[in-house]
Amino acid sequence: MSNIIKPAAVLLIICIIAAGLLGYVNMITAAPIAEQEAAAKQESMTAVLPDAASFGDETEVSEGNITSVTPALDADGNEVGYAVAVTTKGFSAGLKLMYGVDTEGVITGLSVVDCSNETPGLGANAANEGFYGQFAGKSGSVAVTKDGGEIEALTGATITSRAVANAAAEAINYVTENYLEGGAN
Amino acid sequence: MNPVKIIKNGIIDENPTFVQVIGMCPTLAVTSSATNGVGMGLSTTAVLICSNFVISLIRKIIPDSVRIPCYIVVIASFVTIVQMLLKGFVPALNASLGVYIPLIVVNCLILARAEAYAGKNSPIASLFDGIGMGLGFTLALTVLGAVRELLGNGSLFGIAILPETCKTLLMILPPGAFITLAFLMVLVNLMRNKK
Repeated sequence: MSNIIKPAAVLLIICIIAAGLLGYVNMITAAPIAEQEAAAKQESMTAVLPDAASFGDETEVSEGNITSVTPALDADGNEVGYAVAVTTKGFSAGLKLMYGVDTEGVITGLSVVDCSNETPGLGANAANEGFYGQFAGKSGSVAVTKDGGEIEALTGATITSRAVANAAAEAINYVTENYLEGGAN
Repeated sequence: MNPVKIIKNGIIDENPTFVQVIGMCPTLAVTSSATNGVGMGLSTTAVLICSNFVISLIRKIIPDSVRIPCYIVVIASFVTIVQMLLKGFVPALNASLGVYIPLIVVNCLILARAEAYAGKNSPIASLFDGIGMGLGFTLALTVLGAVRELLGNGSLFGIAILPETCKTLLMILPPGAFITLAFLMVLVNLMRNKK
């Protein structure tokens, strides 16, 4: 009997210590992690909407792949554009992007927030400026060259490129429908 | 105990990739560029050194029959703690190494060294074993990544070297990993057999 109880007890104690340590570290890092994420989000919003002086309140969205829309404000508090956060599926799920769309429905910038699930060296190259830089100034239906659009796809990563282009079109579409036409805001 | 010998053993005589052939999943998956190889190698080294040390410290209180679950709990907790600390306090390092850290939990190299070395040797010796094996792993991944990046993308550490026409996309795709690994192993074995 004791040759069952003793190993089980030791394992239990190790697990309890590990759980305690994890809980403690989580407690002290939860706030800094949230801060870092907020700062990273702010940074990517500023990167995609360089004209914005400040940002308004974020609206959570659950339509398609769009997760949230934050209006960008100029110095006088007028809306000059929208930061659209998108979580889409590239080669695998969890491809997080941030698009800036101005009041004309034109993309002002794209920031790749998280492409860590894409293939390193292929799809993960979406984070290189040579790729995401192509999106600024695009409007209407954005697509990769293979689909008749203007976006040069990443070498060996058509699926990721297509996902980013489609999400761009989706972001433009959403902003146009909900914020621009008829001033639904 | 001879630290130099333990480290040399990890880098050359028992190189985890070319001789022991362990930790193949990250080896094949992330070595599409030299930078990725270095990043994965160094993150693994850091975790390996610490997990070897901790497991060696508690090796006498772990009953033999449940040692594997105990090792896994220690390693997984360790990796998670490192990940949370990096995310919270060193965001710059997290941005460059963050993607590799979750992969380390499932890297059998860590568990293999716990089982084969740290569970039987003193903490200090295990520490040096971690350094040696980690460096050996880093070296192998960097060479593998460098060859694949050079042939597949015409660059080395992101700096373009070969002209556009010399790129062979296959090399940065999964088959390229197997082909490169096979050639490197042949080379290493040739050199080892000569001795």
